[in-house]
Amino acid sequence: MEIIFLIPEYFLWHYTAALRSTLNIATNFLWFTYHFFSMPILWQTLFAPWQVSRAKERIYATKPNRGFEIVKEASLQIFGAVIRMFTLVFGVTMCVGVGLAGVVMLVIWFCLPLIVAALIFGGLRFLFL
Amino acid sequence: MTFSDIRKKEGRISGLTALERILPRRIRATAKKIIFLVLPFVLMLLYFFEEQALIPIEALYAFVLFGTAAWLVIFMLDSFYYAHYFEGAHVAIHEWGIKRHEQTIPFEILEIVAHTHAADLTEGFVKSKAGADILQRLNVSYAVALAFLHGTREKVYADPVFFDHPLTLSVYTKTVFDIDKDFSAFLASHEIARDDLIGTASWVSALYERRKEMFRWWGRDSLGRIKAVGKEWARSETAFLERYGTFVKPQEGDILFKKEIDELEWTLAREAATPTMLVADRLHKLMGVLSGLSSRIEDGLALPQIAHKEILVLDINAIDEAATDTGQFELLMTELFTQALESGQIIVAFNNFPAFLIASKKHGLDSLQFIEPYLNSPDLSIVAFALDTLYEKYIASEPKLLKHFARIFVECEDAVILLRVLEHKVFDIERQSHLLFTYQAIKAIAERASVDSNVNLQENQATVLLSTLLPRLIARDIRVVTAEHVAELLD
Repeated sequence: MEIIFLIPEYFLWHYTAALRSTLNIATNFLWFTYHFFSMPILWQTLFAPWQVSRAKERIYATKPNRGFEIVKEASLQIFGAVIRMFTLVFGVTMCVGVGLAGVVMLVIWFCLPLIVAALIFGGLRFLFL
Repeated sequence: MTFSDIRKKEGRISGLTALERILPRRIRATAKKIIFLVLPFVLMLLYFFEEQALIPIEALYAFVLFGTAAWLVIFMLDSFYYAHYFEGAHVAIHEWGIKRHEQTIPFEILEIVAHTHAADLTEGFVKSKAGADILQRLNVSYAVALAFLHGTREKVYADPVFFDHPLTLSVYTKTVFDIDKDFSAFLASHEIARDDLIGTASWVSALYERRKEMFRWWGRDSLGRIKAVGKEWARSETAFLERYGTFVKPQEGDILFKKEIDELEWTLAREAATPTMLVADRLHKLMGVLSGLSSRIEDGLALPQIAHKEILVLDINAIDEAATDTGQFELLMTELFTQALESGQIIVAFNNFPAFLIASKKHGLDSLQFIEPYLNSPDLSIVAFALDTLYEKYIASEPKLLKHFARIFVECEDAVILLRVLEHKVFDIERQSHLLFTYQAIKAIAERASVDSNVNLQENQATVLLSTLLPRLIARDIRVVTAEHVAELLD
């Protein structure tokens, strides 16, 4: 007998908690894209040298920088900035795409019961009309 | 919380629990797969028969539309089911609209309550999925349990029964055991003690949690573990830091202290990283937790907030020895923290926090006043180690200091750690085979492995025993692995 409660329970959930969950899933993907492209870190380290290795650091720490090393480091910084900037721009574009996909997902979810009804109605029309 | 309070919460999804009884998710999943496979086939038929009148074309069109509608209905019902199934699951990274684990009642318990008539608490438990799983893990078959239910016994009225907070599967199971004397006598007749039942309930609960963790791929915890781009594109200078500390080397596998590593990772991954105090009876356990976390970071599996970080363990003795002049200790510590802060990529760990307190006192430094700004800083992650004896002596009595830290007490009993490791390994084995290990079998393996005093060696031994046992179990076509099987096949 409890199964009859399923329909009102479902519709109550579909248009309340589920909408919130859909929004939650969309924000999760947005959050993931933001972090996948390491956007906060790349922004903070935009002009940091490119992948300084531990061994190099030790040399820098013990020997004074020569002209060559300064030029090398500057070029590494420029190279790093270009790569990071490119990644950031790509990341922002992806974030916008994911955001739009989230809106589409929300609209589809909202209309889903109507889509099901339309499919059933269409099927009946094919059979009987 | 009483049973009737839980019943009220369950009442809101009574339709869903009824659906689960009539049309379980396994059947729904199969139906979805069939529709998914059949629909393209029908579409192909449509293409081929469009010009011929063998099958009425309208019927095929109608079938496609009905099939799609049926698939969508099952999808919607599944979404409804999983929304409640995942409610209360552990989430490390807070998600908008998701309630914290402690605030909700796990779905398994609501399912038990749905099965329970007010007149018989134990029957509902035994007949539920979770109850049946627990009893099966204790090598009590469903038929034997049903025979007990149908036999002579005094039924326990459910409504006034009180459950401790937070309500977990272990707490529920423990309460049923304690309140129903006939049930406890029945289990005793199968040589099952209270601790075994609680241990099994928490194992089953951990299995459910792991499954939820695996299935919930859209959660931030799962998405966040996908290796990101550019985490290691910038490294700051660390020569000075390395003079007074060591970067933690990743250790293979993080099973041994998985629970503690999870907890530490979650605490450090919060928006404003919470300083964490790790307390254990031995230093190697504390280092084990850090090595495990370091391994996750190295493999790109750590949560995004800490995925680009490295863990530096400060050697307080080295700093203490280097500080020969007055005020130098404070200068050194300040410089270390400043560099770690500037880098933004370092988690600072104290190898012995009580030693830092003692050294500070020796050098005339007010440790609390000095460290407070760093503890409050949202940009610096701090982990402090303390052996349990020193923790009690130097830290437990300092509420002003203690309030800054989240505390994690590392499991101290080697036997418990070993059981946990085995439970974890068995989960992976069971996913790849048709085997089902009972709690007694796990305990028997743990007992055999615990001949060595070192917990790391015990873990290796347990792994060896499991891999020895596995082909023998498969060769004998055993499904439910009992303690007797372990004894017989390993002797």
